[in-house]
Amino acid sequence: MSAATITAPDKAPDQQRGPTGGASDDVRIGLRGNLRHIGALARRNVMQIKQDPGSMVDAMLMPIIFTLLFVYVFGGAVGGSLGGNGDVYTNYVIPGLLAMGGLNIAMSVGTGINDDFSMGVMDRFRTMPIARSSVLVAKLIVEGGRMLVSSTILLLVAFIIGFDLKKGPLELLAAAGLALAFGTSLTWIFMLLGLSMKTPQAVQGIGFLILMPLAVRVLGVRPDRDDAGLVAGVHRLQPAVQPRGRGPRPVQRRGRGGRPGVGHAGLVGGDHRGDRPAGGAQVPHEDLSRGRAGQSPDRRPRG
Amino acid sequence: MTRSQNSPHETSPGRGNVVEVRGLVKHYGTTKALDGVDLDVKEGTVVGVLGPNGAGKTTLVRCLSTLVEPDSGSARVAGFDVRRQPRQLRRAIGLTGQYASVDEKFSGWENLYMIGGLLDLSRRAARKRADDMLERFSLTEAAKRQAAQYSGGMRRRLDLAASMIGNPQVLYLDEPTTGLDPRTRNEVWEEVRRMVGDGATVLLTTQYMEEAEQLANELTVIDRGQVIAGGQVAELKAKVGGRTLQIRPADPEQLHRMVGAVAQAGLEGVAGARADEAEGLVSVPIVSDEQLTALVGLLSQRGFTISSIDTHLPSLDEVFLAITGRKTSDAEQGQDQNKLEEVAA
Repeated sequence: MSAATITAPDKAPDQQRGPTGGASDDVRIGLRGNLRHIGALARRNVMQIKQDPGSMVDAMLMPIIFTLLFVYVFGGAVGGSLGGNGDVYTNYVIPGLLAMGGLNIAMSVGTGINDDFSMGVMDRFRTMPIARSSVLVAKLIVEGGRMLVSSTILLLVAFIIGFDLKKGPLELLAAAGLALAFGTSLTWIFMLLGLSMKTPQAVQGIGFLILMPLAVRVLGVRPDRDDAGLVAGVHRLQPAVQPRGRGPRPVQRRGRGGRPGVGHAGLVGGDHRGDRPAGGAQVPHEDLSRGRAGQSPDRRPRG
Repeated sequence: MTRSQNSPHETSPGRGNVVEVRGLVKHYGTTKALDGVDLDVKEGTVVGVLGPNGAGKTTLVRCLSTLVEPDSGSARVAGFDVRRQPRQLRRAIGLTGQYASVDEKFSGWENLYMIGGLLDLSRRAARKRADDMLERFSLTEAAKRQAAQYSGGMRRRLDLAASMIGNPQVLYLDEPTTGLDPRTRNEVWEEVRRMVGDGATVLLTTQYMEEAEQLANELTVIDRGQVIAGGQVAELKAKVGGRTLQIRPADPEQLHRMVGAVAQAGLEGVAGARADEAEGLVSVPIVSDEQLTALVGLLSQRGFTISSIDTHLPSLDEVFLAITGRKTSDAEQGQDQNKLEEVAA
């Protein structure tokens, strides 16, 4: 089902607003009716999960497995380079995984919605007197619930393996809320993907291509010491990195916790002991000046 | 009909047109799925849209149910314009597509209850309506079972029940029996007949002449997005030649003598008897039962021994041949168009 046919009929009232002087003669669906429809459809989505509990496995196991994987496989090595041990890395990686959980579930929405639309039942919904957006909104609400479950499990695991909360519980909630907002906003992108691709497999393929680089490089499961070139540039632009390291970074200019989507580690209280490895931050600039100097060696009076 | 008339009942008093389609056009790329279709469906009647694969039947139904926006032309259903008043229009229609549009993971009851909720019924009313519809479509016993475990016929019945929950003014049946075995097909026909008996207005698309004849009052034949014939089923049948009588002589040698005898007899309305040597049959197009009787009498009088007699309805191909003088659009083209429709869907 292409996105075009889904959106096309909704254009009708808009197109005709012009010639008829602003008023569409079609009825609108009131807010209460709309909420009721969303409720009924959300109930359907919850029942789908109940019928197929396996669909919750990703939301429940991913946070456990990823946390254990990252902390116990990479923790020692990366923690050491951060100037501490595995615990340092635990505190570093959990906020990243929090954001990644949202991204992960957002991706599964793409495949789910593609599946849904390939069934006849979507045609039925679309020929019923309900707002077409209510199908998507209901999905979004239920997926938000899945993200909450996922985040809760992640934090539980985190505390068990020694995550050290540097700030209060309110900040923790704020961080979880931020991760939720991040995930739900990404959900729209994957919904669009799910609606425009032909098969769930295609959605999964594209989704994975987006997810993996973002997750590993960008969402802060690994510190950004040894970046070079393009990767460093991407890192600078992405929204969920932790405030550390070198170079001009929005979060540093605005200060800690200045803006949603940037540096939630500040809220949770990430460990900053490894921020500036000795001398490391200055190296690129030195390199740069050397390079410039190299272009005009004649002008430089030297020994 | 004027736009100010918002009540569907005012706009279609008595046997007015519930569906009015004028010059409807829908293109998918360079393929003209609909190329200027006109169609009327009077209240309380069943209109069959007959055509081969890719003729544009499904596109027509999708346009009329606001799933697809037409490129040009106009279509009104229950007095509501498909483009201007899609939401009101959706209140007036029920759609049963080619594949059952129910949630397979849920029980029959849950499916119907959810649709009741989406149609703004109160919880209590939705519960009652779900019970009533299951009863009406003989699904009460299977109410709590997952729809995935239903047989093909039960699923279509559930689908019909789901389409009827909102008491729609018009019911679209898009190839309701495609892919069903004959017994299940009869089951669905029975159900449709009952709904029509209760006064439903139905727009039915089908590839089968037999189905159209069984269910429809009026027929519209479309091909390549255009209406190529239309009218009462009886009219159309007369045009096509009604049934074909196939007589198999006991002795194949007598094939041509039999054709000669039939032609000589000059029975009224019996024209074009021909011998099918490959099958060892004589085919005679007939219009009425009297002709059938007269022919059989004639043949026994002349001393022919008949090993079998069969009447068969014209196939879609024969209808096309009779109407247009050519076969249905070649299979290849039909398939292409099908693919396009799938993509668009």
